[in-house]
Amino acid sequence: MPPRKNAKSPSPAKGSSTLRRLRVVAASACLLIALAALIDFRDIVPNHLKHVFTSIQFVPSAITFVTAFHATALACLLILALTFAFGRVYCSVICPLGILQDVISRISAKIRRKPPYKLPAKKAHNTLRHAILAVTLLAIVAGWGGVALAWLDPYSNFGRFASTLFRPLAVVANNIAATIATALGHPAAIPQVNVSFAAAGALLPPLLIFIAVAIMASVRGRLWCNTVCPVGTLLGLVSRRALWRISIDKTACVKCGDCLRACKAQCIDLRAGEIDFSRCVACYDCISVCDEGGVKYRWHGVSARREPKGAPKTASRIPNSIARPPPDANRRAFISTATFGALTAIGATALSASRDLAQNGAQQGTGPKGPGQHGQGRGRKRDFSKLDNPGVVAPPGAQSVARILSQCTACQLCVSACPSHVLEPAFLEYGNLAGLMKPRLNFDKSFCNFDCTVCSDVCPDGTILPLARDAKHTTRIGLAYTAHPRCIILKDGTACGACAEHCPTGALQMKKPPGHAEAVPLVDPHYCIGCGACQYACPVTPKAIVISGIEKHETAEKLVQEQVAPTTTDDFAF
Amino acid sequence: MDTRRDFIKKGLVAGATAATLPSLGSLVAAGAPASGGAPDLITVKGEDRVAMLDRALEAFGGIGAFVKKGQKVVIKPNIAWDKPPELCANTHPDIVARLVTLCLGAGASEVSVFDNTCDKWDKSYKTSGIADAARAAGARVLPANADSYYRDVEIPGGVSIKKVKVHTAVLDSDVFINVPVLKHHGGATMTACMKNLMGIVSKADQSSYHRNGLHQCIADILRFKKPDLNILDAFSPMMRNGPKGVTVADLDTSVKQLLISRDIVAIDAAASRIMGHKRDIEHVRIAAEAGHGRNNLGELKIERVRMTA
Repeated sequence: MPPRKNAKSPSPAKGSSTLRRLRVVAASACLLIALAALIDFRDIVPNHLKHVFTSIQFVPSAITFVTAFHATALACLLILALTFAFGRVYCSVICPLGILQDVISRISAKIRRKPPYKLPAKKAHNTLRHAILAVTLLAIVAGWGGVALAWLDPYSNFGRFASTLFRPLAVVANNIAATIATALGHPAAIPQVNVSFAAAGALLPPLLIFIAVAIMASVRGRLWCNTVCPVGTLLGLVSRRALWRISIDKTACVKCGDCLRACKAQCIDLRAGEIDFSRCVACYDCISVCDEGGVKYRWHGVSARREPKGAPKTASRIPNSIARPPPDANRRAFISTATFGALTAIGATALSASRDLAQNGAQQGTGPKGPGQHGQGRGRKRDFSKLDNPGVVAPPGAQSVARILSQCTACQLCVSACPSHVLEPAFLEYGNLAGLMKPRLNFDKSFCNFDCTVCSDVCPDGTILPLARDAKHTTRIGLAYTAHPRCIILKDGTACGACAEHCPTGALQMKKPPGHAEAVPLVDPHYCIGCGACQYACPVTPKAIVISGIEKHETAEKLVQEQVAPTTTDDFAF
Repeated sequence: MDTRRDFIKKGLVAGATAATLPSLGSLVAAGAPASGGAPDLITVKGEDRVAMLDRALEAFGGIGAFVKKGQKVVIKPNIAWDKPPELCANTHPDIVARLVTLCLGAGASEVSVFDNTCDKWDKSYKTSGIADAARAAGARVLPANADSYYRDVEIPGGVSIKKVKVHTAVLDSDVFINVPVLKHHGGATMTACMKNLMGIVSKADQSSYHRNGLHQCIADILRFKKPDLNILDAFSPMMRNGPKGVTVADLDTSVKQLLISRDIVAIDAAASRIMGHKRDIEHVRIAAEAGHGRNNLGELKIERVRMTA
């Protein structure tokens, strides 16, 4: 949302800088693309665009960099380089959560009829923000990175806001429009879309975080980025001594306080004539409001530590309440966190590499697929525990439940992009809090389309690895278990076969077991991939056929049948 | 309206039939339009679905026998699955497109096309090729994925279903054309014309069909409405793993037939023979006994046409 000049704003129209205008245009574009990617309920946005835009976000890119190298893994290095050169451009232009806060801040200022960003300078909460960063890095080393980043990564938080909170609202709006269009005689113009709300347990965390972010943004600008967000803190450490920095030219500065009031990060200490560049999000608002040309991007170089000095031209108009942060504490925290950060990053890389090795080994070792002998065709109907307490099903391409738990940051892009909406954010289905909000397949609602590879196409951090369509056809994510006593064919003596009707692999066939008069569904586990079409189609409750997820995904066999014999005679058959 | 060329063609076809199939000599007359009005059922064997459709409709006097100027037409193909045309899990798009063109040519005020799909609706519409083909031919392609597109109707005398939600396109149209594809079906034994009507009811009703006696429910819906015309795509019927199918190996590519009838029971009875069933499938039998149509193929006036390339 491009900010407009407010008549009451401290900045008279005069000084809107080119830099600021560029920033506003680029940031608006980034926010709109991110919203489009995550809200796209009509599947209009191409999947590769969704993937590319989200995978260049800092945390997804860093995860890809550490776990498996792709071109998008370079993005995190580029962001670090950009930050080291120019400051936290990521936070002001690329990060959708950051831009969203600016939007919230502006809207709330409009509602409160106050000009935007009239915030006094405040001290940085260095201890808190460095502690959060340290805990995050520690968690990554301890193998809990999937949990920590799922809660703290700014892109993933934004993804959840968009997918879990905004998307259903957009769908409701669409359906109201569709109802009107139908009433006007144009039902094809705007089709209805099924509204899918996340389960309460998975909806509550993003809702609470959204409320927190919204309150902090409307009251204190970029307080979230400079206190809670570990990416903001990390980039702050890098930007603190950036090569080019925004700083105050004391010879030109008249200490009018316009820059300070324009600053959404509350990082300008006008009393000392200094800017805490670790908190500056490079929005350039201060540059554009300064009539005297006193705030400028300047080369500070690697060793340039001294600010340009000069006597203030006029008396200070800064309120006394604005204190100055103690610089020593800042430096100490910087050194300790940076050292710690470097160590943990190395540790994480090693850890993840070993985990990948272990997984590859396991992957190769998945010898005979499925239980029972080939051709036995009995299914797994005896294991009733699986029916009443089935294992959670992770998306195809995720390879294992363990990878979802350790790597996925629950950004919900796969959930919102899933065309059949079988993916939904989990509550406790993964059996622990680490799985909270992460994607799982719910076959009571829908099923995984045989030919679809969208979740693996869009996943930005490589948790759901790309799957070719052929590979998808044999990727086993679960297995079907039948409960014939519940099946209405035997219970009520009626024809059904809804489950077999939907089976894409031919694993599930209607057959007459010896001594049976009726054909009943029988699963051949060799061919079952656990897509859930059978469970979804089963018309009874509780379901007479249930998919139980498997911890490590397997490769199923492909049903190969001879070509149907052509009718021998050339007649009409009747 | 027969041109001289048509007449000669038919004569040749009839001749060829008689020559190649002496054992079916009694059917030689079938090559030409039956005297004394339209047949009860026509089946055309050929190489080109569109030509076969045109030829079959001709036996009834063209599409004008079903569609009058200014009428609203609804066409219900089988678009159940997110599968491409070559797998024959859905009605072939060429047939649907041609039908749309013919209906509009006959002066239909609008032609709607829809199905309540099993796979994701917009994907199935697209992958089947039907949405694009029908739209290009001038049809309104309607969504059917939400309950708001359906209205409650009573089924007078329904045995297993008394009340059902039917798509508004069917309720608000003057002419209802049923255009399924012939397939094996794990639950209903066969998908043809009667089974295809499961796509005019809501998802909840589809599920309740499965709970309340599939065959009886399939027959019961005929008490509410019978299509004005049934056109069955039996070019490459799916002989196993139906109704979704696994590969092209499931298809019998030698059949190459198209069937047309006003009588939904007769056409399904004939279709079951193509699928290799000696006796009628249960829902066909139930429907015949309830008087929705005739299943005794021997009593029907059937026209069998071979089209030479």
